[in-house]
Amino acid sequence: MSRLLPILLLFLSTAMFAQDWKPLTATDPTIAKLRKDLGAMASIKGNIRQEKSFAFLDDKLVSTGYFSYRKENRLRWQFDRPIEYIILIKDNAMRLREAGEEKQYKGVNRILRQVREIILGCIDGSIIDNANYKAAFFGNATSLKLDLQPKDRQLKEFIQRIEVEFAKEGNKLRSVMLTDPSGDITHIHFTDIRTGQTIDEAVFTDF
Amino acid sequence: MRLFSLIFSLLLALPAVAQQLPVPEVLPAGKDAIYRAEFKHLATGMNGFLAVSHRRNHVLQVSFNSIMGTNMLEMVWKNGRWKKKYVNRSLNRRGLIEMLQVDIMLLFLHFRHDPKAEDRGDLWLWNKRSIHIESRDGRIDRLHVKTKKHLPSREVNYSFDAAGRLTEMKVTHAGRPFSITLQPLK
Repeated sequence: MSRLLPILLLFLSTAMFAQDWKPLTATDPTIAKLRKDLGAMASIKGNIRQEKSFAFLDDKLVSTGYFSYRKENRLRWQFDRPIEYIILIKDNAMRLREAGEEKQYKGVNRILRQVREIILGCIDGSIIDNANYKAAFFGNATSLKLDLQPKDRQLKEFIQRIEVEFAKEGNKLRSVMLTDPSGDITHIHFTDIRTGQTIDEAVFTDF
Repeated sequence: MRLFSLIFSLLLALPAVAQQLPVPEVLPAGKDAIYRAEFKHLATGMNGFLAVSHRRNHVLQVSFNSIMGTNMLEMVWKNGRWKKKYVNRSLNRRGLIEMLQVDIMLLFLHFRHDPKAEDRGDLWLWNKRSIHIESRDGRIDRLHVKTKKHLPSREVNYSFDAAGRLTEMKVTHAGRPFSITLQPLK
């Protein structure tokens, strides 16, 4: 074991620095290009894998589904497993369906509004310039990362930190990591991302 | 050395033997689980997930999360009392939280680990309530909860599949349009 320890430590340190995030300024050309590309993006769709970690559990809660976005402000966010859950956003209107039933919420509307702002903001890039968050930018060989911390006290009660990662190639959304005030982490991974495709209006209006 | 390990394993086994209950645990000590949860109040409902950890020392930790992953509530039951670790402002009403705490203790039959609870066989006295446990084929079937004035207060129902796996547990309140339904995630 004593012989293996240095090798193990070397492996761990290599893995830790493989990401090698370097801080970038808001005016860095890569960030300017990210803003430009996201602003010009007419549509995007892909698969979602959401992993919720609990500080006191070994198991993670995994939800899977897909999303579709079309400019301006049209979003379908759908989980198929373990519960069917669909959010439809069309301009300022928002509809929800859970397990085959359209839901009306009262008490959690404020939370849903914030969820909407975060999801849409991460997809269309508007969260980069959202004055409610203090933003820091990082980059490595393959990715760009936005580290956002809410400034508003009410928002801080809902979310502690948001980390959004984009692939440098094509500036495609790769993952979003949300840290709750309780310290629990929700990691959303995006795969099979396709941009610039025609998405029918019904996707954003019909469950 | 063998003698020492034998004594040690016996010491570990003793509390488990002493605490064997006629109706088995919903979530045994040392186990974790995530349940699909539905809270219903009047015509509105809220779905999400309830993560539960029952530690070996009978500390119970629960966390309720929305489907989008937002943490709404996290509490720990330890030494006979609940401690809130995090409560989202939209849920932070004293009456509601206390009701949830009692419901969770009932759903998981965890009141039996409260030193203040009194065991009278199928009848338990806990927290100014009498709880009648109905079992069938060695499995929990239903809890009837009555107030100290013998008025029905809550009912908890348990459903199992053919293989004996718990499929659903639901607590309903007498005279109050509030219920919690939990279904283990497969």
